[in-house]
Amino acid sequence: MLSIQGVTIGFDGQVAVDNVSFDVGDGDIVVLLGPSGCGKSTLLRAIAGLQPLDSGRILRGGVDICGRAPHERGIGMMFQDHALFPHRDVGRNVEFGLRMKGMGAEQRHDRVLAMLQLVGLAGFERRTVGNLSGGEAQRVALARALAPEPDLLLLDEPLGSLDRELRDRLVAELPDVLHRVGISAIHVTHDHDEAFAMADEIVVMGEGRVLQKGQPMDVWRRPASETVARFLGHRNIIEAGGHRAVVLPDAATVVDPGDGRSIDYVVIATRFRGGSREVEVERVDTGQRLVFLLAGAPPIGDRVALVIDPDGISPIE
Amino acid sequence: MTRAAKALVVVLPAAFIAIFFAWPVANVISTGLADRGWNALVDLFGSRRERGVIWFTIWQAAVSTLVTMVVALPAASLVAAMRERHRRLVRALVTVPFVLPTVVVGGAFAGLFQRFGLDSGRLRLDQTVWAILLAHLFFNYAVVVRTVGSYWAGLDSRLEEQARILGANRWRTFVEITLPRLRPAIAAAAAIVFLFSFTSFGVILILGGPRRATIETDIYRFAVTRGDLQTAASLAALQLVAVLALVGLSTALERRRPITTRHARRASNPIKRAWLWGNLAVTTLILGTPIAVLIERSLSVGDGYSLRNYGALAHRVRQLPAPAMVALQNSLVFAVVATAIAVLIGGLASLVVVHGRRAVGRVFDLGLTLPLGTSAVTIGFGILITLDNPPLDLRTSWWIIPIAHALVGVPFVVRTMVPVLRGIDESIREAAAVLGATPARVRREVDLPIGSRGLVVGAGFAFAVSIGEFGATSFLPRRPDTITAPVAMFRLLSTPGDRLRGQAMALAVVLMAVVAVAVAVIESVRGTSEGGM
Ligand SMILES: Nc1ncnc2c1ncn2[C@@H]1O[C@H](COP(=O)(O)OP(=O)(O)OP(=O)(O)O)[C@@H](O)[C@H]1O
Ligand SMILES: [Mg+2]
Repeated sequence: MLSIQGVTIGFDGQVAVDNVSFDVGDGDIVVLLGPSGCGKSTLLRAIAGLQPLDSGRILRGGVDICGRAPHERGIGMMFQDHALFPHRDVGRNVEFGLRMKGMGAEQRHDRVLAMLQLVGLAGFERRTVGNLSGGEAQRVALARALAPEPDLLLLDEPLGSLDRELRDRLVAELPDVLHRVGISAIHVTHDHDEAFAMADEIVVMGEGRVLQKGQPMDVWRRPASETVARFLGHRNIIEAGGHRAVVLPDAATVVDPGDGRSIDYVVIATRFRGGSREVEVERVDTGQRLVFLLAGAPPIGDRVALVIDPDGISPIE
Repeated sequence: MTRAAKALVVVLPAAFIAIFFAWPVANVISTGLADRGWNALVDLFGSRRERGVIWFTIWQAAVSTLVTMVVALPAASLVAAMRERHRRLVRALVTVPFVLPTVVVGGAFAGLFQRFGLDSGRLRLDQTVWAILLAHLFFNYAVVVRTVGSYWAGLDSRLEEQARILGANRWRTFVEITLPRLRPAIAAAAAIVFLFSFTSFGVILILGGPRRATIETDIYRFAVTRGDLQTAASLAALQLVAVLALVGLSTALERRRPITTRHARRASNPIKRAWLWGNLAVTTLILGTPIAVLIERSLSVGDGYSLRNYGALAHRVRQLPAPAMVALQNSLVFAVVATAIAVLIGGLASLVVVHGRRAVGRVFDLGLTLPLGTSAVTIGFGILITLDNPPLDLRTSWWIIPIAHALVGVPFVVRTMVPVLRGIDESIREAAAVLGATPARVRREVDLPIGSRGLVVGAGFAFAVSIGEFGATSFLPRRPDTITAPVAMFRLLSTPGDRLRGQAMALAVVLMAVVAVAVAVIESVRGTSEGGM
């Protein structure tokens, strides 16, 4: 579908995007993860044709599209700062791309209603854009980007300022909508829960470079470096035999204290996280601290015997 | 766009300005400097009378500016804090005086002094510098309220809120947070007020009397009354140099404006009652009294009131080549034509300023602002002595009047259009492109609808300016079919006798009504938070 090959972009000598390559498969959702300022938006702008490349190529169906103007690319984009048209009401913002495609008025009207329904803004058609709240504006921008059903959609933090409930709903519904129509998407986010929930493929960026890419589960279980591991939210980074490794939070099981393979820990904190209980434990003999998702939720101060699955330990550089 | 069309966008406004502004004005300068070069200017300083005139011009402008800033700033703060609906109303009301023809302003104050017996005796204000300062305050009040008030309203008030949370009181917050951010708007407003006062013509001619001359009125006096084109041209050259420096300074200040208006959110901060009413009272007193008295004078006949002065507008008096009513009709026709020209030229020019190549845009920006600062008298005088040879013998042509008026109107169109076009966030154009709009389509769907509002506002100003234009017109032909209402009014006013005075007041009221309609259009179309005029 889309192939990004060695794309490099600099601003006044500062490299913002550094030799980035990855592919987007047909109908896939690629999630681009990375800390603030690592070049995600810049890369999306380049793909949309809003930002010239210093070097590299962007291929679509094997054809280099770098020479094409944005409106000739058939790539949709939702902007991080929304960029709503201030002189058009909500409905006419959403309608814009449909008019550019030459769609008839009646069809347009239906599509606008459907899109607003999808983003939870039914009845907002005639509202002026200036008075929308941040989350509302964001949803209008999302509806506007989705409406024309481009083959490829670039979403720059599309759910950033939404409340948790709405976000969860859209995280669940958005992939369905995209897959149903067969839209491929590159989705930028900071939020790993969102990333893992939506991604067919994950690309982790840092300082303009691709740090790791792959299937979500692979990336999660086998982070390539400490930076990636930390960015994905891993907290169990340990030293073992001169090597560093990540211990996955689901690697531990509570066993009877008599079990020969078990190690003794003391529970020092517990926290609710996304519906399950996270337990922070301290190893009795070495004082090493780890965080696990444990069944049974032992109370603070208790001693627990844990067995750690070697498969749940993944070495990093 | 085809290449020919693109070229036309640049060439048309450039040619217009070159032929009708740059060439005549250059001609004035070269005439002024022809014999003795720059020494001609030095000579001006040699004459004691001219030294006095130059000094008076500068200090009356400086004092006018200071007084206007001090008196109008509180009102600007009020406008900034008001709810949008009220803000529009106040802004519309203060704008009427600004676009009033200068002769009407002069007339209004003459009427005011007459009404309250201030035109003679110990408390005489008429024919004094006080009269001039008051009229300039009346006239320029809107400049400050509009430019500073709108800019202020666009500032993100979260900064002030933050300062208050951090422990600063109201006054500290104003001084340390608000004032520094307002500085560009205050500087821009002050520069404009100074410029207008510096080149003020009608007000000084009517209220200052023969002894209170400024450079502007002296140009007129030497050129028209005395026929001394040489001295007139030297004075015009001197004035132009000063104005150029000022305009350069003010555009430089304007360019430094920070872009703070994008995510502006205003808190509904309740306005203190006393502040609100105090301010409204001052504003009403300053702006309302002359207008009220003008209306009263126009209705007063002998000891009673009647509409006789209005009826008299239909009849020709000896002093005028046609009845005042005809002059009014002429003015309306000229204004429509001048507005059309100004909108066409100014609209194209704004596109060049905003979207053209950097260097070209800059030249346009400056070149198109200059007519705003150049004295109307210099423009009229320049056209008179320049466009008098075939094929461009326009001196006696009907067209020269709407063209001269358009010249003064173009800067207003550009000044309102450019900020609007500049204010269009680039990401909005990008969003349109990504949604499939071709570059031409982006212009049509984004720039045009947003820009057209600015265009209507500019057109409103151009119309009002043309209706009231006096300085340039006073040089141009005066035939029954070309006499304008302000010129007619000036003639009526400067003839002694109460009967004609009443008629002049009636004509002024009619002009004021026409201008008020233009202002209503401006305000109803004008967007919510754009800065500028
Ligand atoms: N137009 C520009 N001119 C100069 N520098 C720029 C420009 N646009 C982006 N940059 C710089 O390039 C780098 C990458 O910016 P980019 O907006 O792509 O980051 P991002 O990953 O989208 O960050 P965030 O998650 O905060 O949105 C930053 O250091 C930014 O300052
Ligand atoms: Mg970004």
